[in-house]
Amino acid sequence: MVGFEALVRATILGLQFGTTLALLVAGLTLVFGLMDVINLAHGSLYMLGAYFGVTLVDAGGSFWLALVVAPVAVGVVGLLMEVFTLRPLYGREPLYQILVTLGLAFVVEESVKEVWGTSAQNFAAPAVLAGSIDIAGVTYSQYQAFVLLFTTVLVAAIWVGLERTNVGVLLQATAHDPEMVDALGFDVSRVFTGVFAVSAVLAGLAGVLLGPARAVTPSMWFNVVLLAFAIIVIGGLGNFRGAIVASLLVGLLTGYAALLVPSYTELLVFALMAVVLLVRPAGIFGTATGDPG
Amino acid sequence: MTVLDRLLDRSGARTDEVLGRRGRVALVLVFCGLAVAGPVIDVIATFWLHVLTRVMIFALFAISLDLVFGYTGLPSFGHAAMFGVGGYTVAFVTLGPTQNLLVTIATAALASATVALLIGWLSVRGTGLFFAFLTLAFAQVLYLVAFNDLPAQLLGADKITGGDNGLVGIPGYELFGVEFGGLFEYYYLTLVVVGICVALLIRIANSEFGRVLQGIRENEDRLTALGYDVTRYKVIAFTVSGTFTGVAGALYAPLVRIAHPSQLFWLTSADGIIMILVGGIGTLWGPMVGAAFITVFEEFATVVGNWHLYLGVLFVTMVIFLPGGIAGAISTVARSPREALSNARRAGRRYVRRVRGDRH
Repeated sequence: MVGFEALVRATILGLQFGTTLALLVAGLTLVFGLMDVINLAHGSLYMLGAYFGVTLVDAGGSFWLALVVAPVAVGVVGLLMEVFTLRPLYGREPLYQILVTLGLAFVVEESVKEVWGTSAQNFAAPAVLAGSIDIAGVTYSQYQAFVLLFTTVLVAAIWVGLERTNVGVLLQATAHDPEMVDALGFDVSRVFTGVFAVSAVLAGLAGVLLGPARAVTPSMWFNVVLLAFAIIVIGGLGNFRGAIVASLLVGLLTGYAALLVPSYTELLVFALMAVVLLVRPAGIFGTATGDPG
Repeated sequence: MTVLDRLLDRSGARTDEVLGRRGRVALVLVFCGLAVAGPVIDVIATFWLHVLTRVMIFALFAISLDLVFGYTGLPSFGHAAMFGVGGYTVAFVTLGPTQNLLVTIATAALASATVALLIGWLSVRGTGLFFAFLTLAFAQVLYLVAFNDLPAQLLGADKITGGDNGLVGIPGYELFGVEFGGLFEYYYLTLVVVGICVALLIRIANSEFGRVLQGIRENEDRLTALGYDVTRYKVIAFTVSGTFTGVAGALYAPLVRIAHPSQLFWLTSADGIIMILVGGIGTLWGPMVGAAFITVFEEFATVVGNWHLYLGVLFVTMVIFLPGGIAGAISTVARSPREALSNARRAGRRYVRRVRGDRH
């Protein structure tokens, strides 16, 4: 029988995984909503965040330095990806964009193997957060609590940024009618590049944050990118609120599954996705027209 | 007219069909060439017999994938599911009740058809290119099931899929008392089975049914307006394609003597996608050329080092600069070599312009 304490801990674990997934999903949703690109290399950017982070920490830098520098470096990689491989493909059949991101994912995985080797890297959590805290008789890992707090604040900030700021309005307008935004004198091409780079930074951040908790290996990108897209299907396409709720749902499902049936966490997520597809093909929060919520 | 009638009806066949007269003559010549070359290769370099057998198997995989991917415009990223199911079914049947070729291949085809029907039926619910992701995810489900040996855990058995070890020691096929255990016999067996399947696939592509599939690629809304049940055609196309992919898998597992989770893994799907893009999406013959190119490339590239890296770079470069693949390049050069050259120059200039941010 699973005890109360284990259950509470699984909840925290699930929530912090969910909010970190939300960072990834936010980036994917932005890129898809704006450019119609299904970016299979998003997981690769997440992976690069973890590898850059581990390298910085190993080189004697602090975790906090890595938390800032690694995502920025990933952002630069994302920027180069967009400029040199996606820009030439806008306006062509969207199929070629998904194909090119598949190719990029392939290239990144093999490059990582060349640079860091195939064995798992040991990413240590910062010493300050190595301990645990006691709340109401249950002990939590400090690091997990930190990740939960940090990502919650960040996701909330992204939401506010999209809904309440001028940049958010510009992005929504670009998603709606890029030609009009172009005609108004904004450089749509730069908006695309900027959004792709920001989504890469978010993926890099998620990589650094989850690095100490999960195995850092050259194939770590695959399951994460599948989970992130499954979340989008579950939450409903082009629906930011749905994406966040679905992230938490999948995070919790993963947390509890890790406790009860550890080998089958991904299977459960895909099963949930299949059920949603059958019952509500537009996603739990999706509308038939796919209006952003 | 039922779907089956459309599948077999050739009254609609016209001169603009895929792989016209010349193409089919070329295919027959390749078939005869392979048949004649067999004994020679067996004496000179037996190793190449193995490579050529793999080339034929992947040619079947690639052409069947292209039927949905390029011909119908349904980008499947999950064909490894059917390829692997074909292999596992062969393992179950030949290690169990019978080694009879016809029974085994028929069972494998049926099993992969069922899986394809299920995956296709679920995945067509995805909007646009989310179809690609859904097929990828559902193929991964089968990989996880085989890798963790879920059936054995559910039934309390010792082993069913064999987990990450796979099922080893698959014996060769047998038909009318003849054993296809040796490589030489297996080469001819593969040649015949692949030959029949490729002929069938081309016939399907040029049938009335195939016309509808092409119509779905060109303009889905128009077909819906004309009263076609587009969703149903998509699911059937996916099932037909998956069935032939399953046969390819059923030929592959006995050749390598193992049914392994890696045959269900996304990399197998990716291999197929790389083959059809490099060969020429939607042309049906291009993907077979692509399969041959990639399989032979792999043989040489392993000497140089990380061939997957080169393959990835080649793939990305081709998506950007040569989306028509080898087939596209051949037909342009054949039409007018000078035009091909100026096309290449123009493509280069357009690339630079696009990278600088010009969207037009």
